[in-house]
Amino acid sequence: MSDSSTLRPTESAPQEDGAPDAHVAPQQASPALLEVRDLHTHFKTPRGILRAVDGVSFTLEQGATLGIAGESGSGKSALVRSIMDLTAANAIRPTGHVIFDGRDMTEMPRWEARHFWGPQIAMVFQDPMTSLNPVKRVGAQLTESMRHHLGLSRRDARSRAIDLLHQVRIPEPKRRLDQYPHELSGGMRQRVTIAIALACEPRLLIADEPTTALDVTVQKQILELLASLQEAHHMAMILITHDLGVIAGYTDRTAVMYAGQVVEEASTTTLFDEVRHPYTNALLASIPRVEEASHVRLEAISGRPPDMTAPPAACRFAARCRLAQDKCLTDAPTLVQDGSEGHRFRCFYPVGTGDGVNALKKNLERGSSAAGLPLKSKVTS
Amino acid sequence: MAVSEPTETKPVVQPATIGADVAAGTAAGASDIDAMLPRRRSRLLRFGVPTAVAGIALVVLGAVVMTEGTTWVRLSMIGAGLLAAYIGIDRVAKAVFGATFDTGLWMAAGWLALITLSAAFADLLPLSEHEDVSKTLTVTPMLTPDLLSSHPLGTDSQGLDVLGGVIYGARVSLVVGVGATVLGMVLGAAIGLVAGYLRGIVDAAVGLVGDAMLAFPPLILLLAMVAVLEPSIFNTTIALAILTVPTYIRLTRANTLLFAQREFVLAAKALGAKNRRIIVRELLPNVVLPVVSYGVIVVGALVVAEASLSFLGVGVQRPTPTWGNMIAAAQSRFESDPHLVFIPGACLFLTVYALNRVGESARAVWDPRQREL
Repeated sequence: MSDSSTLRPTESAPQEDGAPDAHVAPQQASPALLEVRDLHTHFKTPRGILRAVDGVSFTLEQGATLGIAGESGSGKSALVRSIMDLTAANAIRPTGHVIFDGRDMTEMPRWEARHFWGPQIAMVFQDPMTSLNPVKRVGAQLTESMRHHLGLSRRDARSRAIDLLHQVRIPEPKRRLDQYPHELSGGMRQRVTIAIALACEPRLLIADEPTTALDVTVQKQILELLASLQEAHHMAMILITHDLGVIAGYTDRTAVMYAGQVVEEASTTTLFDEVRHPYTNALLASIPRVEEASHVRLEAISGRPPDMTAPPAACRFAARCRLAQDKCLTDAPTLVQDGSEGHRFRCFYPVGTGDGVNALKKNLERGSSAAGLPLKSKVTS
Repeated sequence: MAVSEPTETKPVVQPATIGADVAAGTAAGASDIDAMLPRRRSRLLRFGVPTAVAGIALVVLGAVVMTEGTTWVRLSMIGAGLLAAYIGIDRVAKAVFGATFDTGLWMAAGWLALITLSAAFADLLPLSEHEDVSKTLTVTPMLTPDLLSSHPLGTDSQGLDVLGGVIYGARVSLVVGVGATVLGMVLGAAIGLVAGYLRGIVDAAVGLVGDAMLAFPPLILLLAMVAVLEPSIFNTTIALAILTVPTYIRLTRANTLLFAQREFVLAAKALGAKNRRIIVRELLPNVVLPVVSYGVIVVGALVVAEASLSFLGVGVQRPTPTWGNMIAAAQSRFESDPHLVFIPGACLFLTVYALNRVGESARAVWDPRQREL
């Protein structure tokens, strides 16, 4: 604990984005809280090296919320777990840089990085059924990290635990401390895991599909709770979800991931107003709409994501893309910046531009995309 | 739980589900279970009380009154009496405590309590000399059991008290059985936890050594160890403990694998917990119940193993009495004086049976598969 003072951002190295006096006013919010640069996480599997995260970069400002969307297996969880160095045993040590508050966590020895987990970065997991230890009382699980990281006494930790449970709106917090996880409902358990994550006042909260395992009505409560706590504690948050509705309602910026890469990234409003990547477009099209008549067939994305042990050298979405042209099958698009405030996407024929419209028209005339995907005449974009 | 529900909702099926006991009563009140229960209880009592009394009377007759009779006759009377008493007491207990009362389990627990307490407080009991032959020169050898004399279970060929031997033998059995189990459990669980959590090379090495030990014939391993070490209570305990370690490694490792994948372990890491903390604070509490409940059964197996070693003469040596060496000493006189073999043998049997019985129940209660999270 003695070195905890050095972990505080007093000596944060000035970044290239020119914050002139970083050590005078570190809270001035201009340097990014988290910067991920070209992160690769690969796993050793019997079929070969699986490239779960393949060159992801993004920045997250102090107090902002980044939503990461994408289908199962697109590398969302692997990405945040690599940020926290929580990857499974068969992972090859991630390459790239994770710069938190001006310090490169990937170059830090593990014992030092450990002091960031909890007090600086905390995580809420998907399934509250398994993310609490079934044989330990709620109180013990809540107070452990506070006593360790903050050096609180048993008594102080307990009173703070009651306060935390109160903050996450659990009724009768005092009684809950002596209960076991199985005595709580699913929503209540997720509130407890949020309280545990908040225990050391982290500056960044990573929520890995925090509502997937919960009932729809409880989902909304938990998301509202996260949003209000984020505001109250001035935390930054990374919210992982496959629900674009959640992204729209609760995030400032959004990154859409596909096959281990970010395919589109923009501020959330821009993303929904000016979709550029065909994958994002297809995801949006596959959301059921209330205003449509019942029994309307949902728009599905045909095909499957590529095998990540041998991803295609060209565009990874080409095989499933309605807009795919010959170029998409040979060249890999890079993440290009569009004019409007940091809107980046990875596509040669972006939706909503002249190129994209022409590409779709051409494919519809041909009846199939360049990758051989049959197209019906219905136009979605 | 699930079985009892249909019987409440469909009264017509009840007679069949209640079982043969009440089959006679079905014609009278087929649909009225409430009226049948007290009748069933009185039936149990009417049968149970006389059976229990008759059984106990038979035991007393064989053990206390007929001191002149031949041992075989007395032993069969005691055996038949005990059986009748068990059946009777079972019925009475079911009538008093309800049909789900497990009489056998409570009797097993009672026996374990009796044997443990008498072994613990053996020095305070008014027992005759059981160990030092020089002090029994005046005692008649081969006395037949007479519960009201100073040698309630008789004496052996050297005039040593059999009851004293059995009780001090229980001390050896329990110390070795429990001691070896605890030692093996602590070692095996520690290794299994580390191997199951760390996986990789550690796990492979531990698995290899464990499998090699399990593949080795246990009796030969024991004989080899005992031959190298000096036969004593301590060394027997160590040898038996080493024998149980691989089993415990496997059991703990399997349970650890189950819990190590749960997200609470990841969550602990995400809060900055070190490996040692995760193993001790997160995994151990989850693993301890199934491992300990298995331990009760292992105690039983080790009590038998200790008795076998003593019987073979490589375990605890005379003059310290153990059940095993008492049986070994008396086996040549089995035909004329079978009680000298049967008494320590019965103690051994009852103790191991009781341990298994209690262990099974413990496992049923603590089995992780039945524990809903």
